[in-house]
Amino acid sequence: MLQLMRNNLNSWITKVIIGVICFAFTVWGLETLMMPDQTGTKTITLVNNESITQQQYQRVLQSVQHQFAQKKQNLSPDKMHQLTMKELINQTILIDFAKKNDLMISDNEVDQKISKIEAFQENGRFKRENYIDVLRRAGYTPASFRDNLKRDLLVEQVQSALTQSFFITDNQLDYFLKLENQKRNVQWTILDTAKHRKNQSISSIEIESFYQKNQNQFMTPEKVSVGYIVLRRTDLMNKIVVSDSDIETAYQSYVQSAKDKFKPEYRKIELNFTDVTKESQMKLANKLIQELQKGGSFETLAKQHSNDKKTADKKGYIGPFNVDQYPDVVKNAVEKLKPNQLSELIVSEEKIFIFDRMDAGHPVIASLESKRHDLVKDIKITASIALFEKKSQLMADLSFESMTLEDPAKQLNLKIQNTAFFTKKGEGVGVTQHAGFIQAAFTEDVIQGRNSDLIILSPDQEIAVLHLKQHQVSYQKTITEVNSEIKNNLLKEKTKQSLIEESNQIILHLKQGKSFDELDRIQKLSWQIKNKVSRHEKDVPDGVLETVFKMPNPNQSKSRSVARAMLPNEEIAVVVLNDIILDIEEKSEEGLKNLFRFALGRTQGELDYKDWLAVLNKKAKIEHKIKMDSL
Amino acid sequence: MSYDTEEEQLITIKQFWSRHGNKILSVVICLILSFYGFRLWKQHTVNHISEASDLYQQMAELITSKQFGQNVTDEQHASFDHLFSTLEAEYADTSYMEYAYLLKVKQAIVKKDIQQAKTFLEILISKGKIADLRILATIRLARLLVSEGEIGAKSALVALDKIKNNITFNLLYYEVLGDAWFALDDFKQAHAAYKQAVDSADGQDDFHLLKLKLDNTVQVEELTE
Repeated sequence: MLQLMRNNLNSWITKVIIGVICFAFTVWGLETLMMPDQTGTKTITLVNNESITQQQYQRVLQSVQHQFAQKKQNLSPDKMHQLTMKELINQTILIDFAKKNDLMISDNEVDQKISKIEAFQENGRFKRENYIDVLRRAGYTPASFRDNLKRDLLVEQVQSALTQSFFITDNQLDYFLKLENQKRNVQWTILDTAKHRKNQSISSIEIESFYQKNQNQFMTPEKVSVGYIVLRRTDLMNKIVVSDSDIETAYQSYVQSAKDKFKPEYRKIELNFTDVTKESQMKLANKLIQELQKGGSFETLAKQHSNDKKTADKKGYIGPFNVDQYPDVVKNAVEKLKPNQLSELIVSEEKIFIFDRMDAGHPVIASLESKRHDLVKDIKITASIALFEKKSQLMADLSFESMTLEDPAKQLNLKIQNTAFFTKKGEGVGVTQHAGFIQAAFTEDVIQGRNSDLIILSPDQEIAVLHLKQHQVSYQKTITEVNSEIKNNLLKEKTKQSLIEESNQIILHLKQGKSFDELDRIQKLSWQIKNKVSRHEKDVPDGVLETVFKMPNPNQSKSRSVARAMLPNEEIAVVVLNDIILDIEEKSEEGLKNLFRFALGRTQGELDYKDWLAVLNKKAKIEHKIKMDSL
Repeated sequence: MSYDTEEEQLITIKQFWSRHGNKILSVVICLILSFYGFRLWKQHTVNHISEASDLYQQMAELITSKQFGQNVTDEQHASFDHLFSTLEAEYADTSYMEYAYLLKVKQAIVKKDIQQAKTFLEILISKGKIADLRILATIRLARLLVSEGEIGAKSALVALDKIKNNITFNLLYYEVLGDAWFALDDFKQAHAAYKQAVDSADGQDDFHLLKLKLDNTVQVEELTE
């Protein structure tokens, strides 16, 4: 057989067989590269050839949703998507900039940040078990979390390079304060709206014409009212009964855990030879140990003499002994210490140490009675989480199988509640202000009479299912329905035009140089005069005040500085600016000035950054790979 | 070429190896060395940049501490200067050096040493490798010059003129341009520049100071009749 193969080594059949084998090996596994990714790393957008993945999109979307839920603001899914994409594109642009300019965050920096995150700490110290546990619950691996954190820190670094380096000089601050504190001398007259309104009339032809031209304005929005059931974890928790044996088991577990976690605790005094001689430090150390042996306060002496400033501030307290931080000579001495025992002088190559073991040799364990309340609470929380998960699944199944809410409500012992009519914008009260709830109410399935999918009102806390009660489609109101509304609007518009015409006349007279007496002879007006008006003046009507500080400086022109001001209640005023007073020295205290400098510097720094980002955005090459519906 | 026996093939391979073996080995060794050399060099570069990043981050943290705004102790200035010197001595080839210059300018302003602040900005403008930072430095230099009065404002206009064809920071550029014209009492040009700054704000609206400047330079429309 082998000889046969050798003989035919150069024949075309052999070449084809080898070719097929080579091809099979080459393409093996290619399908995993070509197939759509299932783990969320699929690219949805390319920004300057940097990928934005589906996973990143989901994370930022969740964060945006969380932000708005906290503010109790309701945003449409489109708006939510836009904000998420904007945030991601900005981040990616900055990452691209950082890469191109060789900027990076060190592993050391990432480690420091992680160790400072409170969720990973226990008793103020980083705990690896907490770290792993929190990450797992949030859906991260340590590596993916580090990558994300590194990315966030890099974005922050690039951003803060502009914002934090901003400066305000004394001259700039003085100029700002002069502008902010400037005063203006002003007079104004509010025109008689009632008189103008009385002179207007609206014909039915005008109403008809307006109605025909603006039919879109008179469409009613689509509305629904729904019934709904809500499952709350807190309700489940309140119904859980905890037996004495459960408490006993939990207490035993607490005791065991306290014993397992127990580590001896120490405090130390550390003297180094870097700035002073070893002899003088030995002298000091001997003096300190004698004082301590006589009953001197370790805390006071550590605070006064220890060269390790970090622990000196904590009166020498270091907590459990970290073997990696000390040479063997220290390690050996410290490990021999018994509870409440003070060490002799421990001398290493560079330092002298005195250690004091503080603990009693066993953990402090609270009694069952003092722990009872916490234990019951913990048991209830743990049980309610599992129960909530189980009932959520049941609620999803029952709602899917049933065509009404009756069955899931009955089986889960929930009360069916009803909403009033609400539109796609929501109503701003109760469940009808929740974006997810509103969105679910207008889905095709619900409109056709089926129960909605589960709606997460609050993650792991509150879920709902809704069912349509009534549906009002959008329709056009008749002219009779909107007659008075149109009439009122037209009347307002005509009155406004008439007021504007009168104000134009007054402004023209004043600009032409007519005195107020001359003007008074033409038409009677009541002028209010107020000098030294500040930007925050309370006695000047809104609208007038706003206009006053946008008016031209009368000292820079031969003409009068006159303007029209629109007031919030649809009144119109004519405003004359007589003078600007810049030379008033506002006596700002130094502290207040510094506060202004800090706030102004921060705002202006952020402006620098946003301005730069806007330009980078314009230059960026953005390529969307997936439509929003597919996300 | 065909071989009748395995012995013939073996002899051919041996002959080929004695002729080209050394060359092949040399190439393979070179490739392996280049590969590991490249990896070492890359790791060294990453470490080098990471160390620079750490130093810069420490500088940034010092300067953003609230006390750094005012009442900075000599000790704080010394720590900041020490970090900067280390960065300058060992990591001047990294981009962090340029960022550190921006922080150094801020420190000079806190110390009220305007001349030193200008010097650092000028170094950044002439030697900086990051184009956007060079432009930012030019705008910040113009800001400093404007705050010195009429002569400074004229120098600011000259500085701004150099970047007018390559504006990266639209809003900032026009705002400082407005400040320069204002310092020269040309309120019309100042207002036009401020207006352009506001127009290029691209949806931002948190520029209180710019709005104050814009409103402060509104011109009275002269009557044409």
